[in-house]
Amino acid sequence: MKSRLVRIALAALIAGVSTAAIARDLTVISWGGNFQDAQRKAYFEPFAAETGKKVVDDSWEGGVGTLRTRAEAAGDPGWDVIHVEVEELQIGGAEGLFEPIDWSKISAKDELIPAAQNKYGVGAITWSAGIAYDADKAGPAPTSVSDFFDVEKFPGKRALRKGPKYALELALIADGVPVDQVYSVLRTPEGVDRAFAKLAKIKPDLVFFESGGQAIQLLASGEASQVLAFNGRVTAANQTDKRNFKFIWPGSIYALDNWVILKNSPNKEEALKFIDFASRASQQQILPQLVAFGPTNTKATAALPEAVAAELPTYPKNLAGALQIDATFWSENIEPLTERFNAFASQ
Amino acid sequence: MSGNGAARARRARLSTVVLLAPMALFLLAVIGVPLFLLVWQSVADRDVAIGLPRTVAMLAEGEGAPSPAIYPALVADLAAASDSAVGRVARRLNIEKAGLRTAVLAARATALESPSDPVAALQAADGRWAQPEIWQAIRAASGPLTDRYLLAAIDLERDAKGEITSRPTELAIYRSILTRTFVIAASVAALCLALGLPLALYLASLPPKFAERWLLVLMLPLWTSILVRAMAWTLLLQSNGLVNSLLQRAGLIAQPLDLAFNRFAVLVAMTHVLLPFMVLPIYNALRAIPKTQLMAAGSLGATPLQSVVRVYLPQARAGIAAGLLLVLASAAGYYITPALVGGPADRMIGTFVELAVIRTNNPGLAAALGLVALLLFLALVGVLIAALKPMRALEGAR
Repeated sequence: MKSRLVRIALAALIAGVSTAAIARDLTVISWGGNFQDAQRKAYFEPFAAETGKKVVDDSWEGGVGTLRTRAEAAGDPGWDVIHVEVEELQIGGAEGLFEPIDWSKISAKDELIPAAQNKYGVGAITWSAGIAYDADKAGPAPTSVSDFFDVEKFPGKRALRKGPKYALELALIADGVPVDQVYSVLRTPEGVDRAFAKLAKIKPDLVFFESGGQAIQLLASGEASQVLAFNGRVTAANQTDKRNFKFIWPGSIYALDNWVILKNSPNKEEALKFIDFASRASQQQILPQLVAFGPTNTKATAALPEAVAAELPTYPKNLAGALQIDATFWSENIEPLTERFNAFASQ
Repeated sequence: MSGNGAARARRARLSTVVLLAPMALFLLAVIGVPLFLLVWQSVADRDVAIGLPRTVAMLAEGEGAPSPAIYPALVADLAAASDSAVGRVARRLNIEKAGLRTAVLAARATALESPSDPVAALQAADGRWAQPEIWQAIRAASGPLTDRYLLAAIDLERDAKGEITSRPTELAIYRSILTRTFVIAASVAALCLALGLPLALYLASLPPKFAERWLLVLMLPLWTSILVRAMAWTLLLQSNGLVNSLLQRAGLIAQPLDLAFNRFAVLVAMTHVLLPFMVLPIYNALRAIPKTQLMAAGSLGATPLQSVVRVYLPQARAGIAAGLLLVLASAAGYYITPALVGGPADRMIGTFVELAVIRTNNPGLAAALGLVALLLFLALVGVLIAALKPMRALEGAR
């Protein structure tokens, strides 16, 4: 009796261990919330249906350190495909944390915009970060980045992402720096001091969030009256939760995110197949209808109805007065400025 | 006969060693090795020397500006190193001076093209290769040991002359964070003692069967994930949460109180989590004291309060000390709970270790912060133990 139990337990243990060693499902990491819900419909589920293999998806909150810890761990890093921001692509690529992309396997290569074709990454979406507010709430509606910093005329808490990115740019724009000079000012120590000084003025009213989804929650619950939000999540909240959130385009910051494959991923081939799938026009045109982030596939962009296109970061009217993120500035300065930002936030 | 005895003693010693060996190896693996790695990580500075061996060797030969021969050496180093070795050099030099990451990566791209004129090619790739600062940065980062992370962990740095000075005020936060960490931990320990001591006294007075049931109830929260408990406290305490809406409905307050995302919420949530660690050791100590002593004290004329304070509690001091240490040690290492239910001014040292690992990509600083916190904590424990000693001596004299 006892020996049978032991044998069963051993068999179960061996089965468990060996399946874990042989096949971990393709694991895709993105940014959670209604954005990842949309990705699930546009990419994860159709890809699983087409290949007959399961896709596991999970979320993260960014940070090269996370990627480095996993890529440099002995054996399986646990993640395969990751949706990263530009400076993570640059730093991680330089530190050898990603597998190089085999571009001969990306069938839609020629349809992708040039900025989407990188050595270690394939462009996934364009997005904008800017000020959002609830138009259903009483009181005057903010119209510019400066209004975010005007707590007299527009009372209520302000929510920023916990980190220097976007916060410093917005502070300088609100302080009167022309959009095309933001990064040249930020490259000087005086410029950094100036941005922090501007933030310090509204410090008592600032709250910080970690994930893009939290920004929408803070706005929805009324905890914050103005938040830094990602444009697609704002329109998705309006669509699915019948909200009346508005996004301020002038002074918003736009950028391109990439799919990368983590070094030592045991599912490299599968991961590349997934990225190939997610680059096709047929899939890329689904996503913007659910969450207003722009495709990187030009054919997908061309196929979008005007009403959807008008909500995207790359729509000409939305680009007016917007600032393109400077990936080089952030790959050089993300670490020291994050340290300073945390010091600022915790005091 | 005596030889026999010696052999038996040897066997006994041997079996002791054999029996203790697994535990000793386990302790070495889970405490000794990580501790060694922590210390090593906080002072090691080898990325640049490994990535650029020829350059570092040439720089070590003399002070001041290097000879032009350094450029071919650098090109040879950068062409031979792996992507990840170059990436580490770039990261390390970027810590020395923000912006050097780009200079290193541009030089790497140039080196791979094996330029015929390394000096001109490198200086064309990035203007900083013509400046003396970049060579000073490489020299400063050439290791093999550094004190920059340990100094940074106590808000100090070295200036251009190598003298130790304070870090700029906008970065000098770690002393106040360490103080804050121990203030929060001590407050939680005090709260746990204030709540846990009466509870333990009451439980110890119950018949064991009932007391054990209550202990199970007390330990129930331990079976819930710490994350879930923190989220539950946020739901209860936030401005439109359960507590505020109940108080408002009862007409006790007009405006919602600020209960969540501040120090109050952190203390409440942490005390909730850590209370069992205070109650259990005290309860255990109290159980070991014969009840008859209380009766004896009473029969000798002591009031109930007197008999508890002067007879009962002094004997439970070991349990109280154990509870205090357990709570203090656990609380000092908390970071998820304060990050979830507290505000930015309640983040403890654990949060900053995490930030250094994940956000600012600086494992050296993370290790140094951990090491400094550990040393401070050991010093604190030493003081606590030393404070308990004279009392024990007094007891012996009595």
